[in-house]
Formats: sequence, C-alpha cells, structure tokens
Amino acid sequence: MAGNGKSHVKEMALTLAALLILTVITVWAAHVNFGSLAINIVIAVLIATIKVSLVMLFFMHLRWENKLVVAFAILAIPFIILAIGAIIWDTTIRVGVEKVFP
Amino acid sequence: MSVATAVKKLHDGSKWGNPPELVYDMSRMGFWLFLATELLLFAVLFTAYAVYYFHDPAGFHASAHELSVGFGAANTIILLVSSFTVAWSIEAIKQGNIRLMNILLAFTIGCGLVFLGNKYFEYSHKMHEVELEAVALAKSPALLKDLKEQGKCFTNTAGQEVCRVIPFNVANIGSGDPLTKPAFASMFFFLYFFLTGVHGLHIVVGVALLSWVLIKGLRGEFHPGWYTPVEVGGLYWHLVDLIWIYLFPLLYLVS
Repeated sequence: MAGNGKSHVKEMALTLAALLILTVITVWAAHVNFGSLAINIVIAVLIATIKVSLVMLFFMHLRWENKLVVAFAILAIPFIILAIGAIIWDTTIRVGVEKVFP
Repeated sequence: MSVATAVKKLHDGSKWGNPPELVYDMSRMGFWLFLATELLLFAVLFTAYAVYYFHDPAGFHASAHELSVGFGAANTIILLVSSFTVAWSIEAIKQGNIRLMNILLAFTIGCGLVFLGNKYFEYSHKMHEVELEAVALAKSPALLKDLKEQGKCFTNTAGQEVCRVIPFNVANIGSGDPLTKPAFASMFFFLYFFLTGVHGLHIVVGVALLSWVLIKGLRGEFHPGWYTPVEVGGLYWHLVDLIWIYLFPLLYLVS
C-alpha cells in the first residue's frame, strides 16, 4: 500500500515537540503588548497557522501523499481565505478601520 | 484449508469489488474532500466571530477574560498529544504492530474523554452565577440597579461590593446597547458556546469513530496490507485538533 515501509515516528515526535513549544509561545505572546490588540490577534492566528500546517504535513501525512490527495486537501483553503478575508474587509470599512487598528 | 481461502478470509477492503490499494487511495481522497466541507462549516462560524469582534472589541476582550486559560491550555495539550498518538498508531500498524496500535488508539480515546470532562466543568461554571465586583458593572448602571433591586448585590468578606451575575445571559444576545449590556458581551459567550459546542460534537463523533476502529483492531482485522479505517479515523481526529488550534487563541487569549 502507498506510504508503506518507512516509519515516520521520529518526524512525528519532533512535530509534537514543535507543536507544544508553539503552544507555549502562543500563551506567552498573548500577554505581550505588540501595540494593539488587533496585532496580537494577527500574531496568534499566524502562530496557529504554522501549527495547523505542521499537523497537516506530518500527522495527516500530506508531506508523503500523492499529488491528487494533496490537491483535494488544499482545495478549500483559498475559498476560506476569500470568504473570511472579504467579510473582514467589508466589516472593517463599515465599522471604521481606526476603531479596529487604533 | 487452501492458501486461497486463507487469503480470502483476511480483511482487506476488497469486499466492495475493488483492490485494497484503490480503496485506500479513494478513501483518503474522499475523506479529504469531506474534511474540506468541515473546514468550510467552521469557516462560517469563524467569520461570525470576526464580524462581531469588530463590532465590539472591548466587550470581546472583557468576555475572554472570564474564560480559564488553564483549562484551554490543558485541552490544547491533550488534543496535540492525542493527535500524535493516533498518527503513531497508523505507523504502528504499517509495521504490523497490532498491539501497539490498539494501545495507542485506546489512549487517544481516553484523551478525547478527558477533553469532554474538562469541557463539562468549564460549561457548568459558565452556566452558573458568578460573583462580580460592582465596580466592573459601573458602565451598566441600569443593570446594576436591576441587580440591586433583585437582591443580587452584597458586601463580601473582603469588604468589596459584589453582585451575582450569570456570565452567559441569553437575554442579552444581539444587544448593541453598551449601557444595558453586561460588562461581558453575551455575543462572545453565544459564539463561545456555539463554536466549542460544534467542536465538542466533533470530539464525540471522533471518539465514537475511533472506538469502532479500536473494536475492529481488537478483532484483528487490520494488518500492514489493510489499515484504511485507522488512517481515515485518524484524519478525522486531526481535524478536531486543527479546529481547536484556532479556537484556543481566539476564545481564550484575546483578553
């Protein structure tokens, strides 16, 4: 079967270590003032995205998957970014950017 | 018993009339497509979060302060470790180690149950009245007056004036008036319960799915030539982890 043979336990253990370290960094970063609360949230979401990428690449085997499965896996991501991005853009214009990024 | 019958008795997914390699490939592809629809479901909820955050950032920060970061961080670590063990169980069965796979699957299910236990404590805490210093309600004089009339305010042993309020007040959902709204916006708690509730439902489904895989594993149905249900069950469990990775900072750490 595909992906048979080589064991990836070592890579996965390292991934877990990285995820736990990034969790500590997330909690620490939440208590640091980066200028505005909106910037803090952007930083938290960026760290979360790194963690999610690690989970998808190693725990969910995308690093070793065939191209068709990878294509299906990342199919939704541009649409999610488009949907959330467009609505946030619209909302910030309505509410007033100066209120969101003071 | 001939060799042919012995091979036939082995479970390999070919009962659908397809070779196991094809079933393995198609299952993964189909399951990723299903995961894409799950991601879009949560994307809608995260969008709702973003929109209401921009309408009332201060309310969201005050509300997030009411959540316990300890509980959230503990649940994050539980899910990350269980994600690792379920991924490890797939590696174990690839090497033919059925016993290790079963142990790791049981451990993962245990992690899921501990997560739900933690959520139960958190939920029951948020459903009950908590003591809040009257000073924190100064921005909502109408609410403070109501609470005093209802006899909810008193002086505690530390000499502070406190009022008993419910953090999650259904009556205030959608209220845009900062004067009548409690110090913690109810829209945040509505989203908190909705997001973690839908996520918790996925934990319940994941635990059920992995239990089914574990039962099959205990029956000895998996071997290096057929472990597709383990792989697919694992993918579902990782999705639950992915969602929580975003939920944790957005709900617990925006204070």
